[in-house]
Amino acid sequence: MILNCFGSDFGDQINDYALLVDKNGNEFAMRVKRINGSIFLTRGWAALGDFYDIGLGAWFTLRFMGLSRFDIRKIKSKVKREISIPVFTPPMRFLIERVGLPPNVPYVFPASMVDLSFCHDPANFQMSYEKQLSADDIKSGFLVNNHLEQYGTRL
Amino acid sequence: MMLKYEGFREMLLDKSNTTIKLIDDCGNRWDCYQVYQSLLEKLFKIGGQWKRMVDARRMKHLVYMKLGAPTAGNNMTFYISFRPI
Repeated sequence: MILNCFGSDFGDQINDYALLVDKNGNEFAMRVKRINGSIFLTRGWAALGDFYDIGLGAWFTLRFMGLSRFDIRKIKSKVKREISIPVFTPPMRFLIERVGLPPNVPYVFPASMVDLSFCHDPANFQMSYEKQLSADDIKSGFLVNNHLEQYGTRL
Repeated sequence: MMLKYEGFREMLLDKSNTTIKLIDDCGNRWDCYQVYQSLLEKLFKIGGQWKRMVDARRMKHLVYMKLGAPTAGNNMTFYISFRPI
């Protein structure tokens, strides 16, 4: 959540989507929601927590660079230990799927904060198939067929 | 990613498609390409950003991956979720 005071000053410079960039160039696209005048970064936030492997109570220092862009300056864990930023060549880009998103109209605060974050719609798993990843799938960049796959198919 | 043609893939993947989107459990989109191979055995090979996703999510082997689609037919978007061992 971005505070009301910031939102009233710079809210007009933030679109429906924001871009967070860390010092190693990794980019995170975020969905912006406006609720009761406050700005919330919703979909895409979970990826950030997972990428830096941080949990509850971590601290972020963000600098607003204009045009919906924020730079991530420092990340500290709950106990104020600085988190190292992973290096990828080329830098990692986390994009969010924009198709099928509801329009970003102001709405009342949801009953639970969980409603703001992304979760899969069970309807998207009506046809599903489960497989256990092998070491080859991880290292080679290809998911290789194995025997487990035969038994993992559920239709 | 390489998938056998029979079963799930036969119903949900189209041989003429070359690109698919994978949506992970954080809502991120990964653009992948797919190649249909029918030389020795019928396979779908899915590459592109699959490797990037594996690296970004720090996935280890033996993790269970669930691939889902809303309907049978020609799907271009697939949803994936992961379950630890």
